Amino acid sequence: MRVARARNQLRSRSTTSPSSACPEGYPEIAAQPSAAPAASPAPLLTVTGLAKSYRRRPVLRDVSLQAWPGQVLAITGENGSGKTTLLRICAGLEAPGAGTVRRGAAAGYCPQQPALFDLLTPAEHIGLFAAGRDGAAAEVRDLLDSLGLPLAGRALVRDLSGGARQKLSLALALIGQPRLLLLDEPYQGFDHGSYLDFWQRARGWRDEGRAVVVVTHLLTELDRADQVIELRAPAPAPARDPAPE
Amino acid sequence: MTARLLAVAAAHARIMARRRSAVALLALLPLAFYGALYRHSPNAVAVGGVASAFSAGGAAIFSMLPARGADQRLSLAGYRPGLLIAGRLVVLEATSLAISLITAAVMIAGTGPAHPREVFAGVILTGLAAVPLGLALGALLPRELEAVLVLIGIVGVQVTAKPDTVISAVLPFHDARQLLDAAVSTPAAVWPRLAVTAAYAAALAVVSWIAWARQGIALRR
Repeated sequence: MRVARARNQLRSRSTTSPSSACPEGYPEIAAQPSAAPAASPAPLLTVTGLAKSYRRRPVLRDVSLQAWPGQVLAITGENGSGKTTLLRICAGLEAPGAGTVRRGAAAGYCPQQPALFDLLTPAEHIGLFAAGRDGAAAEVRDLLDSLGLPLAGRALVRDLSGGARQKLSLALALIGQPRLLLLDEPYQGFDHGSYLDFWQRARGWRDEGRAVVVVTHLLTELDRADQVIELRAPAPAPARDPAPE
Repeated sequence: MTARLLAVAAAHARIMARRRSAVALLALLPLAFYGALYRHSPNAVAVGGVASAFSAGGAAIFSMLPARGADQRLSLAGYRPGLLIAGRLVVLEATSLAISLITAAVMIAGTGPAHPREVFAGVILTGLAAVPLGLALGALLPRELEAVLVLIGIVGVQVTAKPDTVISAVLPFHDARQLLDAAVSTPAAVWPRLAVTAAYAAALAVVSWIAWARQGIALRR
């Protein structure tokens, strides 16, 4: 009988310290806590031994990472490697199967698909989310303005383009100025200028001492990150030879 | 907390106000059931009244399920699941009350029942229980189709089952149905039935709260 088990591989490298980048052939399921930046008091996100399965199909296995203040952490990997699941667990929207997630600060979460109310306007969304956090919406309005999404209009979310919805979704994650940002491909549908503006802002958030965790597919973005975590889709484990009869 | 509750209620009130055609259909649906029977059946008032549960419950289901992702984000933004449920409950019960008043007024005008007070009470109690029933179905079931089918089943059984059967007695619109039946026969006590239906509705609201909280979990720091 052949026994196949899916498992994740997790690779880590630091773009700020190229000399410490791991060579090819990273150990499987290696827990790779990122190096703590100097003078950082505590990580804003600590994931330890995380595992998750859906209907007995492993999606994540033994994933560990840390996100520190003043750091952009990119999570990359092929389709089905568990990036979105990892971020949802980090945000607290799914329970892990095993392991722990500890957040050192309030988190702002931008999902892969904008989860919005179709029949509310962008301004009404901001008012609603700001009321929940008791947070000033000025920064969000500024962001939306720079991204080219007008707030003054009466356009409902259902009438916005996909890119405009994504901009609003990103902006909502920033309400209350959370120190930990969990962003799942937050620039889908952005035009080039907005895309560049996003990364410029990400650097700004890092410089403010926030931790920015970004899920991405694009290899070209990895140089923009201080730390890269690569998840691999669960692959069948080496099949065991049939037991001798 | 009050400000957050008001913010959620205001958002859902806006959404409801922007669904004008849906609101019109919600008002017309129970009248369609009543209109199909009012010349031919003594049960027209009871059927029309209980059928208002389709409207109130359906509106609640479609208020919950498409908003699952947005509500999860709101829970991360500081809203407790109970607030998200309560905000909907306020708006949907108000909408249901308006629909109930229209439905009852039309049925009283059309049938001329002996006890019109029971008509108003029965239709209002139907809406009172239907909203949290829809919220609970929306919170418990994964998709709209499943939730709507269960709602149709519950309301359909309540309409067709004889009021003195066990199956009728355990369903949420039993007391409302008794009042609607009493409207065209002998008068019935309203307050005990209001208390039972209110307790049923409160239990359903708690179920939807717990189910929504389980889906919108936010880890403790």
